[in-house]
Amino acid sequence: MLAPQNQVRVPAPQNQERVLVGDLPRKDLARRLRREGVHLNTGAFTTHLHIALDSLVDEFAEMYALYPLEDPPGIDDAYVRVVGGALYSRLFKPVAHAWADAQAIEPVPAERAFTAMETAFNWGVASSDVAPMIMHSAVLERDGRALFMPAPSGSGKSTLCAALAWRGWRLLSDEMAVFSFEDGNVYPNPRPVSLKNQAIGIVAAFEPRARFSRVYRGTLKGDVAYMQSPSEAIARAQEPAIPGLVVAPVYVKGAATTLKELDRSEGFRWLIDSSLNYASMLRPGFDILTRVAEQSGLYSLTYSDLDSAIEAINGLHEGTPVRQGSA
Amino acid sequence: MSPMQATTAWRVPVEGMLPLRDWDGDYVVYNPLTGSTHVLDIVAGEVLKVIMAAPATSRDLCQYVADFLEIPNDFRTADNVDAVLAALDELGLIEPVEAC
Repeated sequence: MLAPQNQVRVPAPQNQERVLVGDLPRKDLARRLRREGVHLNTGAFTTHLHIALDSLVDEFAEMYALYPLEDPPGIDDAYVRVVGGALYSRLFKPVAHAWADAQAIEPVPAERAFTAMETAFNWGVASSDVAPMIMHSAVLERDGRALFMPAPSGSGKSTLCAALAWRGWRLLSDEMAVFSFEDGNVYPNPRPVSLKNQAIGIVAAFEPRARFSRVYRGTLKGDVAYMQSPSEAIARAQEPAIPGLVVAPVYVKGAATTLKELDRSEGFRWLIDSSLNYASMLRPGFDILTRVAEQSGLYSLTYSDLDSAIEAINGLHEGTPVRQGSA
Repeated sequence: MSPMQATTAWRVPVEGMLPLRDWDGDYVVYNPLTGSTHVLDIVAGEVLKVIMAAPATSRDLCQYVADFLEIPNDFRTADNVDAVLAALDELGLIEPVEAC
């Protein structure tokens, strides 16, 4: 979690035994989720999670098996609750309701409760009272340097992120870059990677080791499935990265892989536009994003082939030294 | 003749320096009074840099811009500098120094 005043908390000592979600017997996990809840640590954030919907417990246990629980709990960054509908609706048309703190998520059919829980996790991060600077971007790390991929939904960002996470890059997040005010570095918040429609099959074919949730059909975004974060990403979820590379990807069917270097001010505008809370971050937000713009190579990437796109990004990573700013 | 008083002096409305970055001729600046971030072109960025260093008159700034761009210091330069000063003033990045 991120402590108040937006300062990154010192991680628990490495020799402290941590209980993982998967360590708990299914019955105990279900009871704790229903009663007092669990305090789920996903790196930069800790979420107090209540689940009162039996059908969701197994999916949660499977997808989050390797995540540690904070026990005894510290300070939570967000509170997420998922419950079934009222009795009559459970009998006739089962639904799931989810909340992120006081924010209600649109109810979904009970069989898609996992999608509502993931949405609530995202809301919890974005609306946390102790929210640090957050940018809508996939983030991965290699050699200590962060690769940001800010892009709107449908751009192929998560597909490329999922592929990179199996080709030498450590997943920090497929959705949100979390910056510390203290040092301007980006902190991990690896959670299951959301893949949509054709991307599900593309990633499954690309990486046989990847493990997925079932496919949730008929969501507002079409078919959705979640890829488990690679175990290394979860095990190293307390290790931050310094800004190194910004690549804004766009998937175009049949297109050749093309990189275009962006002017620094153009890239900076892209970073601001991708930030969820830049306007409220005031001067520290300006300092963080100008540092990213000054220390990173800034590119847009058009691609249709994952291997070729990864090769292009690896080339940038290996050939692009960290730029020094001109502040 | 420029409509703006050539002897009007301009300054930044905060103590110290505004956070300004010079990126290959593009300037980005944060205004702590409004919370806004602005991207400035090279002339506006240079004019702001001069004013941040010390209050300057329109006349001084015209001469600076003419020297910087290696162009004549004529009415066209004065008009352009006046437009830049008006824009920076509107953004709250500079203000006229009131006569004592």
